Amino acid sequence: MFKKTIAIIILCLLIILFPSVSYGHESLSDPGHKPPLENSGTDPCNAEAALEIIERVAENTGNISFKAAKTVIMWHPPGTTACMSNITHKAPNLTKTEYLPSSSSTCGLRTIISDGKSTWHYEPSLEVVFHMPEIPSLHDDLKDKNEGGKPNRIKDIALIKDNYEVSMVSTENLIGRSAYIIELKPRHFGNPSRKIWVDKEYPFILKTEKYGSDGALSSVSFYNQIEFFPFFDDDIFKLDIPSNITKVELPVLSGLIPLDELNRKADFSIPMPEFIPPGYVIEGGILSSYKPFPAAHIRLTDGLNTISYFVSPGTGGNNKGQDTLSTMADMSGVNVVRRSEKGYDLTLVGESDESLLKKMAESIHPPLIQNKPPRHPLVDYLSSFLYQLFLLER
Amino acid sequence: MNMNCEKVKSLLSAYLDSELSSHEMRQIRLHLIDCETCKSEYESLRTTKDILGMLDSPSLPREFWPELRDRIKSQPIPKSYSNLFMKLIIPAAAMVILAILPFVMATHTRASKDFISTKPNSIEPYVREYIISELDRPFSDKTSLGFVAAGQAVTMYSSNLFELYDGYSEPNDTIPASTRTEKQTQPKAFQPVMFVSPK
Repeated sequence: MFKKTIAIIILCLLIILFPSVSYGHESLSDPGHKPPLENSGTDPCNAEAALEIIERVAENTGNISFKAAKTVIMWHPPGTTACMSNITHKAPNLTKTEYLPSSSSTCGLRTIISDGKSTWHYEPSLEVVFHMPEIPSLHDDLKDKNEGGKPNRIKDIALIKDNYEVSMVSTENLIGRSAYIIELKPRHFGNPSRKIWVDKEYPFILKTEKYGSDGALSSVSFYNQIEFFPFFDDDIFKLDIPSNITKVELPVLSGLIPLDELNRKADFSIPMPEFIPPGYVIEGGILSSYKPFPAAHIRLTDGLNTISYFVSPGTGGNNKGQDTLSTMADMSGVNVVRRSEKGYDLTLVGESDESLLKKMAESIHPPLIQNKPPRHPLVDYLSSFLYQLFLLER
Repeated sequence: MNMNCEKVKSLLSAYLDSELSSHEMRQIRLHLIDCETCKSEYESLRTTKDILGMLDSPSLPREFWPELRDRIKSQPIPKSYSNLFMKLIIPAAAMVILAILPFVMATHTRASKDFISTKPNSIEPYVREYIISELDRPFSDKTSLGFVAAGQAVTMYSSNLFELYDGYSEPNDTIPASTRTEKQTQPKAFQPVMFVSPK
């Protein structure tokens, strides 16, 4: 009897001290532990680890000095683009990238140098140097004004958690370094997915594969060789070019501002889309400095991808004033959807599926700018013809 | 440096046919951005040319010109008709032209205003702004974005699209010394740096 009592007490103690014995593996998770990713079928611990790794990568962007050679290959409908480059980065802001010319090119190296304040781009084929003041941080401008004052990088991670299934696929040795392979699959239709190889020692992306919304590989970029924290002189961040090269000063893009401020600054009403692709949030906007027409540029993000929405009043339509909708793909692989309605020119740019951008464009209903009196086309023709005949032609 | 309206008007037709030097083309393009009057005339001229260009030119029979020449030779203009033409028809035509000119001018101005809104149809400015803002994302691949942005810059520079930005300045040859190395004195025949591919 005594032995049985002792055994029961020991068993109770064991149950109290080690609840997992009675409830199995699930009870290992603490009360605050998040449930597994929806529909992911991935191990939550695996997902947590993957998220922790990408958080570290985001936090340390630019903080790791390195010297490397890198290859980028992009596949688009018009063809394939590839480039090789030499990159030298000194934390936190100094970066020099030299793009190697193709074998058929007789030009020198296309070079881009950024010091955090300015970007210098030397284009040997044109014998021109473009100088552009650095954007007064599109993100930092907003972080103090937004709710909570969180830096956008942290907000990006929060959005990625909501909109992507993040999982660690496996590990792999790459250019002599051990790396985690992390996959980011979109939860919502129409967005590109990504696979990244993150160095095990440093929070640094060694390789990226991007897949279109149809699942096809759209681009891959990887380091052929890398050396972390090397020694280098600051002099290598100076442009090594002939003195008589033409300098072209490019305008700076302003920082993002909240939408209400943008509406106050723009001298036209900004129509907003009724449909926003699931998972995307509006980050803010800027007023474009492109002269021929006033335009507002509104940015949306799902944490990983961006959609830019440009709106410009009084410029839309063809010469007959008809509304139009057109789609096109740029050489860089981004989709562009242009729509004109009621005199407004609406342009959407992004890597999301074309159907999403189209649906978004079609959900924008700009206000009527003005009613133009209808004219007979013959009057137009005759007036122009007579005018040319009598006044311009000698 | 800048062209005045009179000169621009005289060159509009050649500008439309791309017969001018690149410098003149650029000057006129810049002038047209700022001058609504010249822009109206340019649009009007372009529309007229477009419309006329759409007309089919009828082909004449081979014997048309010899026959016409023979007829003209065989029928001299009577003196009385010539006098009538000089004394009556020309002044009457001049009166009609003077009468309808204000109407034509007014209609023309109104018609041209509808074409002022014509804008460059290029998507480069939009894609460039998109790419530049993408550079700020924590997981963006800055090497490929930089490559694309550089390509956009080359296209826009070659198409003179940068001139349409506020804050753009005319190219000059001065590069601050702080951004150059001591090799700045080397001749223009620039020798590319030899790159040794990593093994």
